[in-house]
Amino acid sequence: MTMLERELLAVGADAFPETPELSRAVILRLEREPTPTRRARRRSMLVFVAAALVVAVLSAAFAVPQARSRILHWFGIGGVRVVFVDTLPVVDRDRTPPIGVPVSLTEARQRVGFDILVPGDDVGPPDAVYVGHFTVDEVTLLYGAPRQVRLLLTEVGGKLNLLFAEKFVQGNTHVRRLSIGGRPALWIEGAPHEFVFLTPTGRIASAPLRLDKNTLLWQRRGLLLRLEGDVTLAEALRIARSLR
Amino acid sequence: MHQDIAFRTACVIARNAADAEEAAQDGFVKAYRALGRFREGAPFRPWLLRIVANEARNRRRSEARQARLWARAAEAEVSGGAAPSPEATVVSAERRAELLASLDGLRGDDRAVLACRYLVGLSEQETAAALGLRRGTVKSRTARALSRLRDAVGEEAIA
Repeated sequence: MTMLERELLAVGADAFPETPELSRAVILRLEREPTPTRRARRRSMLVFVAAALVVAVLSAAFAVPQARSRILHWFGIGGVRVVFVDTLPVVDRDRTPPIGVPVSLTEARQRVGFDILVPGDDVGPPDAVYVGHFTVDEVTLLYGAPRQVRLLLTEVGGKLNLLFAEKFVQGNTHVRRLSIGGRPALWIEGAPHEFVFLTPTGRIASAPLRLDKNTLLWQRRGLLLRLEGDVTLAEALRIARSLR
Repeated sequence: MHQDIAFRTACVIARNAADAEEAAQDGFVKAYRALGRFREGAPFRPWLLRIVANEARNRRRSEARQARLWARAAEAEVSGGAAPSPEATVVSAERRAELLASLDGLRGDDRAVLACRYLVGLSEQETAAALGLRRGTVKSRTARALSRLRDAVGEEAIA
C-alpha cells in the first residue's frame, strides 16, 4: 500500500459528518407504513422471527420496538436485556412462526460460520436443525417435535450484552445472573416469560415455540447460546457443560 | 454495525448529509422489506449498500446545490484522544484538508471510488455494488484515481 493510500485510510471516517441515529426512524417507519404486498409482509415476519433473539418495547420512553432484532442487529445492537413488567403484553397466540430454515446438522455445519456445539450423549443429536432465514450465523437445535418442543438450543455469533435487547419478564419470574466460564450468563425461570415480537404491522405477537420455558443464556467461544426448555438450572448447566 | 457504512456510502453518492441520511433511512426500510429477495448465503453488505446507493443516486442534486461534504473534516482540528500507535499513519489537519480538497477536485467517478474504498473502507466487492460497477472496473478505476490524486496533492514523505 502506498503512503497516499495509507493517508486516505487515516482520514477515513473523519471525512464524513457524524452518522445520524437512523434506527429509530427506520423502525418507526416499518411499524407505521404499510408493507406493500402480502407476500413481502409474510416474508419479513418470517425473517425477523427467525433472527429474533428478542423482543418488544416497554414504554414510550423507550419507544423503539426492539423486536426487530435483525434491524437492531443492522444497527449494531444485539444481545439480551431483561425487563421486568407488571403485566405481560397481550400477545397473538395464533401465530406459529418458524425458527428458521430446516436443514440437516451436516448442512448447518457447512452454512454457519462457526463450529456448532451439540450437547453430549445424554441429550445427543437434535431432532431438527434450523438455520436463520436471513443470516447464516444463527442455528437452532430442536429436541422434540416442532409443535411440542422439549428443548431448544440456539447458537448465534455474538455476545451477551446485558444492556440491550429485551425479554419481557413478569415480576414473579426469577432471574439469576450467573457466570459460566468466567463470562456473564442469565438464568430465567419461574412464571411464564415470553419472547414476543412486533409484526411488521405493529401487532405484538408471541413466539409459541419459546413460551413458558426456563432459559439459560450464556456465551462460549464467541457464541451467544440460549437453551430453552423444561429443565432445571442444574440440568441446563449440565447440558451447557456437555456441549462439544 | 451497518449504519455508519450505509450513511457514509450515501454521503459519497449524494454528496450531501441531509440527502444521505434520507437515503440511508429509505435504504434500510427497503432492504428490510426486500429481505425475501435476498439470496441466502450471499454477502449481506454489498446487497444493502446497493439499495442504499440507489436511494442516494435518486437524491443526488445538481453539483451547484451540493454542500461541501468534506467541510467538517477539512476544517476540524486534529482530534485529541489516544495517541496513535507508532506504525499508524498520522495525517495533520492541514494535510487532511489538502487531501479532501484534492479529492473534491477529481472527476466524480474517481472521487466516488476512492471515497468508497479508502474513506468508507469498503471492499472492492462492496464498492462495486454501491457504485454499480464490475469489480474489475473498481480495481482499475481505483488505480487510475489514485494516480490522479497523487498528481494533484503529491505524496508526502513518511514523517
